[in-house]
Amino acid sequence: MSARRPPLEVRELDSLRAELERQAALASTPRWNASPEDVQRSVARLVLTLVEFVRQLLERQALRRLEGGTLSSEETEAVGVALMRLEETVDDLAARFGLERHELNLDLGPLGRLL
Amino acid sequence: MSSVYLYAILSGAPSCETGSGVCAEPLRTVAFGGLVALVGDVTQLPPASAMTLRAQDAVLRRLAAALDAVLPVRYGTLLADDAALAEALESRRPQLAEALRRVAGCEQMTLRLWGDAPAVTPPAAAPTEAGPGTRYLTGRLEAQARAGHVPELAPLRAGLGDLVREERAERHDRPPLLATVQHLVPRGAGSRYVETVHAVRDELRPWRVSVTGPWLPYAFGEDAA
Repeated sequence: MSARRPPLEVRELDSLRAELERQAALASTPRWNASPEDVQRSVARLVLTLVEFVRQLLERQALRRLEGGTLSSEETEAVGVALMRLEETVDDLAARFGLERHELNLDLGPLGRLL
Repeated sequence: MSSVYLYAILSGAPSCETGSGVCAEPLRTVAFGGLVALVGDVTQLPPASAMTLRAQDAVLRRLAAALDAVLPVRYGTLLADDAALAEALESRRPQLAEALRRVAGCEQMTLRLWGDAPAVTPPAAAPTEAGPGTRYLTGRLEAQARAGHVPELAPLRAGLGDLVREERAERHDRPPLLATVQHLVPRGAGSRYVETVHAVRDELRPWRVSVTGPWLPYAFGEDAA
């Protein structure tokens, strides 16, 4: 069976490795622990995770309503701008604390990850 | 103090020996509410690595040969004790039972799509005079619809026909890796699957595909439902 499979190119292997590393980083989301050495960053991570959680909930609701046609043009524009600015703010604050996007998450044990 | 390490949910108690796990601990099964969990008692779990993941895969593959369905659980799922295990299973019993039914008699083939750029898709439906907020929301809607959609594989889907029971697709769009598609196929159909992919390879150009498998149905567990 394997004899009929052409080998991958080097750049394809590099691309696959990068993707697997990205997924491994997502899978190893740590539980939240307030590090005594870096309390501000730990608190920022927790707060931003919760803000992002709420933002995603609001976005899903907005998309459902947009699909269902229950948002007027004015409402669509207003909600879209609000969500866009909230996302920019989360990204900006995360960058200030040296946090990557995949760090804005919580491992809830057997319940899985928050985001 | 030891914890209960959950390896998989099984379609029943295996007729063969359960053997030992990744920490060389003896494995045992726990039956609860119609579900059978494969567990080991461990004091410390080795960190996830290629070696430990392969070791866990080998444990499950050996048992899969004697069972109709094995639903692998995410590596590193530790529970305090059997009571915590029972609680975790109870909270997801219908979803786990459904996932077991889904993977019964099946294995997973993994297809990766390669190319310099994804297929061109029609522009978002936002009117040209729309403001930034509307364009943002419309773009999100489009991204959501596109997330599990791999139109580049249309010629292959026609060729695979009813060989594929279920599909899970994830777009990456980070060239050259464009997408990963998992197919649930009947056990033993792997060779036919590879031959079909090979037969339509020219029709897929300019995109290229690579196939790995057969695997245990890692992408079709309860989390993927």
